[in-house]
Amino acid sequence: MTGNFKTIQQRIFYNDETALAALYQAFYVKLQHFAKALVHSNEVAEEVVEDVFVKLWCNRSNIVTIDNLTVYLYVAVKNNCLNFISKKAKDLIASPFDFLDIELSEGSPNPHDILITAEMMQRMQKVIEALPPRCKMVFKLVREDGLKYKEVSQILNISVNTIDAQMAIAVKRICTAMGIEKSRKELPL
Amino acid sequence: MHQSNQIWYLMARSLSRESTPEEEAFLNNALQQNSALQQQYNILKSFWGSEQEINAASNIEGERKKISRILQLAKVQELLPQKEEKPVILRRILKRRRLLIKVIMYAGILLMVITTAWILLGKNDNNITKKAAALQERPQQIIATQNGSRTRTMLPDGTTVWLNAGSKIYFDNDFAGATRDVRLEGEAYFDVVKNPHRPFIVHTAGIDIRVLGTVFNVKSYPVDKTVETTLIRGLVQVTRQGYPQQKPIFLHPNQKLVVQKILEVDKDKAAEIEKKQPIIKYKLAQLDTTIKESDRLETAWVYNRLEFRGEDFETVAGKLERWYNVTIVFEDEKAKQLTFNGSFENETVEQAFTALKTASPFNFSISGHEIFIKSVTKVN
Repeated sequence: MTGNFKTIQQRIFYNDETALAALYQAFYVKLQHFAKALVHSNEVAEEVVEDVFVKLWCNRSNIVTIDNLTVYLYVAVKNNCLNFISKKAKDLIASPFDFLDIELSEGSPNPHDILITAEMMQRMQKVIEALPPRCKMVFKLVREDGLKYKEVSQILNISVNTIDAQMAIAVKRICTAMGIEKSRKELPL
Repeated sequence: MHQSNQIWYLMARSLSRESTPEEEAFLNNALQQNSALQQQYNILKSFWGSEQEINAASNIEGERKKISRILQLAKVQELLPQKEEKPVILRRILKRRRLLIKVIMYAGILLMVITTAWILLGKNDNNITKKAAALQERPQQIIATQNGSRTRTMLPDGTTVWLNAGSKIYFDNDFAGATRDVRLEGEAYFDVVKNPHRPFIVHTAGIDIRVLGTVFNVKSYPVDKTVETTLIRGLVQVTRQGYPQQKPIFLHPNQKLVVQKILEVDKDKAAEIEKKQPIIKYKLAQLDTTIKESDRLETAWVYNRLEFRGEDFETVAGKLERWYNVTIVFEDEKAKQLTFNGSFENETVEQAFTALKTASPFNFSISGHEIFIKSVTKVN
């Protein structure tokens, strides 16, 4: 979901309100989920996302200086959330998500797909819920929000290598939980 | 990266579309040799892809509202800086030269701000309070209601005002200044004509309610200890008169703000306390949006209904006095403690009191425009 937003950026720069609307539409649900993971409150999450867009619009004369709008929005939301939590929380940015209880989006894919049974769905969701916080957040941003590894690394302030590793852990756990065992040749972690 | 875990890395990258062609090829190869894993991968791939649909399911109407709100908020932010930043920037310049340099970088606006600030030095505690005071001196239009009656009227700009019983509003005859100022004693419901170039400001009991085309209710009777502002539609900003450095409170639709009044007597004491701890004492509540506007407690009177919920008799009596234009006398303290829920539309005074009596027993007698209340004695 990280297409090219250059046109939207330009349109916003030229005061096109429909461009702001389009941008909001494209991002608000994900940003709100992201914010909620940090602040635990729907109202605060909504407000934070709203504030970010208000500020974006107010500063639209500078919008073309933003390299990656996606990263900008997520980072802005993250910062606002951390401000909300406390000023000291900013120091925790180095390891930001180890302490937080993160909920993933509530919508689940339709289990009636040929390949996925409802039971399997449940098992997968369970495994995902049980992932360690940081792993969970990485997995959410990559899979649900469709962000690239590089973008996630910028947003969360962690290296791409770490993201590689976290994603691998997540995938491994899910596969293991689905009960289908790897062939004996391979050694467990 | 351990050899044994390589498969997970590759799967993750492939699913996230981060893998290079070589990595894809390697993965395909590995999966071909392990059908269980291949199945695994296919399932995950399905699972991955379907997330797009969830995010697509959207709420068009809600989004539209949100977006217009964002734009409105942005407008408000853009309008405000002049009035807010004057005193703050002035203080900073006096204290820290370093900031002055940074500040001068934003030359144009700042120069104007600084000049204006110097000119108004000392007097610029709050432009708005000055206006409120000025309002009281110039010849004005006054619209007032007595107890027992409510009225609806229109201001020169087309704004509709419903006035509840025992209320007064004051405004300039021509209503043509840079801002549209109204002073209120009592309770009024405003449906303000939108005009972003001329903010509409209600002054009452030490606070200013600044609006940009909205529908809202203000309850501020002189006898009340609080000022209640309920916003139905639009956006308002509430500030405390005389405290420009305090952050204004923004009201969003379906929110109700209750602000403690500073009584005249306490003004000096309060000013001292607030110097150390400058916080407006207030409470902001979210109203139940499932209730229709015409059914809400706060604006019931506009729909010709008198309502109270869990309020003590003394408070209810105040409302009844204004509604019916009667005087209520309590013959003992106990009766004042009774609480009531109720809603009256067309009842006469007797009917109303009879109804109240069935809910919580008490004795009453009506003599002309006076009503005497006595609690039930046990001996009875």
